[in-house]
Amino acid sequence: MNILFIGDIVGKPGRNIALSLLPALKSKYSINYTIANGENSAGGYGITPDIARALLDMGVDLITTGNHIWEHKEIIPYMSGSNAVIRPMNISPSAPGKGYAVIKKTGVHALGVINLIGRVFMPPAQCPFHAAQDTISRITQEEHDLKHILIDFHAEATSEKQALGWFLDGKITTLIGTHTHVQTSDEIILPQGTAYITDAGMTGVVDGVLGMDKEQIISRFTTSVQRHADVAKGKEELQGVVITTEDSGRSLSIIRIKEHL
Amino acid sequence: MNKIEAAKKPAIVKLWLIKSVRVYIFIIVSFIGIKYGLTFYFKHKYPPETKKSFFGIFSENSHSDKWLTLYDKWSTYFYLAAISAAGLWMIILIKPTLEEADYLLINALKKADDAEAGNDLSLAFYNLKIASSLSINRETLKRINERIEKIRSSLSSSISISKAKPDRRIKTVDIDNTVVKKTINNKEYIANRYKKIRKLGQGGMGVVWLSEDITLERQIAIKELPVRFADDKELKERFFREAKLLAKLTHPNIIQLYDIIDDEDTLYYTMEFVDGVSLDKLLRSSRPPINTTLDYALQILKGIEYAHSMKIIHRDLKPMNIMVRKDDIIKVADFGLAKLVGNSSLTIAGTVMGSPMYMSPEQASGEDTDERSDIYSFSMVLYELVTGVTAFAGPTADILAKQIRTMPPHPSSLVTIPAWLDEAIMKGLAKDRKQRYQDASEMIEHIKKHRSEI
Repeated sequence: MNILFIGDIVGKPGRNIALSLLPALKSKYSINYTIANGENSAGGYGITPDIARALLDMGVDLITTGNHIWEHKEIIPYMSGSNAVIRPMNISPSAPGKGYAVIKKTGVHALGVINLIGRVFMPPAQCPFHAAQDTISRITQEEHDLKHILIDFHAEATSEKQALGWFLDGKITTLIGTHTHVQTSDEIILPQGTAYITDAGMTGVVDGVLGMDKEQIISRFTTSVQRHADVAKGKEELQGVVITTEDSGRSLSIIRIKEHL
Repeated sequence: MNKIEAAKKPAIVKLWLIKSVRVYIFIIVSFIGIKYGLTFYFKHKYPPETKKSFFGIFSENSHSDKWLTLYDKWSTYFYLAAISAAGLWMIILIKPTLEEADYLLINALKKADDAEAGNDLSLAFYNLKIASSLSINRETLKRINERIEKIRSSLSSSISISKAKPDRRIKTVDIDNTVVKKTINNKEYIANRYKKIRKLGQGGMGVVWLSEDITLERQIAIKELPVRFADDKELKERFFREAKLLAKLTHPNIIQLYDIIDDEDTLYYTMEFVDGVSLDKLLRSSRPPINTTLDYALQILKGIEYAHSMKIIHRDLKPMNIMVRKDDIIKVADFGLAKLVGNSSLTIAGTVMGSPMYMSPEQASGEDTDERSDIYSFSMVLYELVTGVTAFAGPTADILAKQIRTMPPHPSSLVTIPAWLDEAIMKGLAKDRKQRYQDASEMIEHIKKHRSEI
C-alpha cells in the first residue's frame, strides 16, 4: 500500500501547486491514500471549511492540522461535523473535532491517522507520548483489523520528534513530523518497521521564509513587531513523503518528494 | 428554472430530499397516529366481546367482525390521505428548493469569481464544480464548464499538446522520469518591442508585467489579459472601442494608458509604470496619519473628478486599484475596465461585477451605476484609510446584503477623527445616491474647506 503525505500546505500557492501536481503524483506512485497537513492552507494561518472542502475535492483523503487550527472561527462548527479534518489529539479533550480517524477504501487496508502536537517550544498540550499510546490502543480496539497507522506529529523540536519515533517503533506504520516547514533528509525505516522523518517539509512558495513573505519576516526580526505575515510569492514546491507498506502494517520504504512545475 | 432539467441534477434532487425531512417526520408521525388513534377509537366504540366456553371456566376476548372491517376501511382512507398530503407537501417544496439551488449557484459563482480574481485557482475550481452541479441553464452551464476546463488546462499536469494556445509552448519538467507538462506563456518580447522584466502582479483581469519599451528606452507596465478576451470577437472589438476612450484620460492621478496590443492571439495593454505600492498593500502594513490620508483622498478625488468630466466611471474603485508612488503621488488604475468586463458576455446572469467590499448599493442590486457610485466606493476606501478596517466584514453574500441595507458604524466610533470627516464619510456612504455628494468636486470642496481645522 502506498501513502502520500503532503507537507504543510501554505496559502493559495500551496493549494494551487497541490491541485496541479496531485494527479501526476498519485499516478506515478500508485497512491492509495493521500494525507495532507492543511493547518497553514488559509493565507498561511489555519484552515477554513471552504478550503478544507477544496483540498478534499482535489483528492486529499484526510487533512491533519496543528497549532494554527483555530485561527478561523468558522472551522469550529465544521470540525464538529466532519471526520475529514482532524486536530491534534493531545489538546483539550473538550476541543471540537477529533484527534484521529480511520479511512477505508475498497481493495486496500484501512489506514488509521492520528494527529499529535509537541510540547517543546509549542503551546501547552498533554504528553504526546502517552496520548499516542492511548490513542493507538483506542483506535485498534475500535477497528480490530487495523494494522496501518500514520501519525502526523506537529512539533518544533527534532529531539521530541525523534524520541517519539523510537518510542513508537513497531507500534505504528509511520511517524511523520510537520510544523517546521523545512524538509529533513533523515528519513529512515526504524528497526521494528516504522517509517520516520523529522519533517516532511512544506507545500508552497520556497522563495520566502517558511512559505511566508521574506521581507515581512525579516522586518519582524529586525523590529520586534510581531504580526502575521503574508504568504510569499515566487517559486512553488510540493514537498512530502511517500511511504510503501506491507500487509502487516510495517513500512517497506519512505521516499522524500520535492516537486515543482 | 426548468423542473425537468433540475430533476436530472443529483445535487438538486439531494437538496430537495434534504429539504423534505419534515415531510418524512410527518409521514411517520401520522402513520403512528392513525394506527393507534383508530385502534383507540374503535376499541372504545366497539368493546371486545367476551366468549365463554367449557362450563364458563375459560373465556376469551375477541373483536367483532364489524370492528375489523371499519378499522381496515378507515385506516386505508387515513393512510391514503396522509400520503397524499405528504406528496403535495413535497411538490410545494420544489419551488423553494429551486430557489435555494439558484442562491447556492450564485453564491458558488461569486466565490469562484473572487477566488479567480485572487488567483486562488484551487478554490475557484472547487466552487465552479459546485456551480456546475447546480446549474440547469444550458448556457450558464456551458460557460461554467468552459471556465473549469480553462483552470484544469492551466493547472493539470496531464494537459495534451493539442490544447495549447498557438502562442504558448509546452514546457516539460522531468520529475523523476515522470514528464509533467504545463502550458506557460514564456514569450520574452511582446510585439517585438516590449521586453518582459518581471511579474508585478496577477489578478482576475490578467497578469501585469514590468517591461522595457526598447524603442523609447523606458520602463512601462503591461497588462496581459486572459486568453478568453482574444477568443471572443465581439468582446475584442468592444475592448478596442473602450480603449480609445480610456486613452484620452490624461491626468496626474490616473495611470496613463499608452497602447493596446493584439499579439499572436493575446491582448495586452501598455501603461505607465508606477514605482510604488498599492494602497491595499500599504494599508496592510500601517494606517497613514490623518494629513497623509486627506492628501491621498484629495488626489484620488481629483482623478475621479477628471474621469467623470470625460464621462468615464470607474465602477471598481478599491485599494488594490490605487497606487501610491514613492513620492506620495496617487495613481488610480483600471479606469473603465470594470465596465468593459461587466457588460461583456463573460459575466453570468445573476452575478455582479466589482469588489463587494467597495460596491455601491445600486451596483450590488444590479442597478445602473453613475458617478455617485464611484463616490460611494471612494468613501468606502476613505473609511478604511481612516479607521484601518473595512466598513463591513463577513462572507461575500452578507457583505452584498449589508451594502444594500446596512449603514456601517461611524468611523468616529472606531478612531478619533474630526466630526466633519466622520460626517463626510457617512454622507459618501448614504444608501440613497441622492443623499450622497452629487459629484467629486462637491466632496473635494468639503474636504478642502475643513482641512485647515486639523
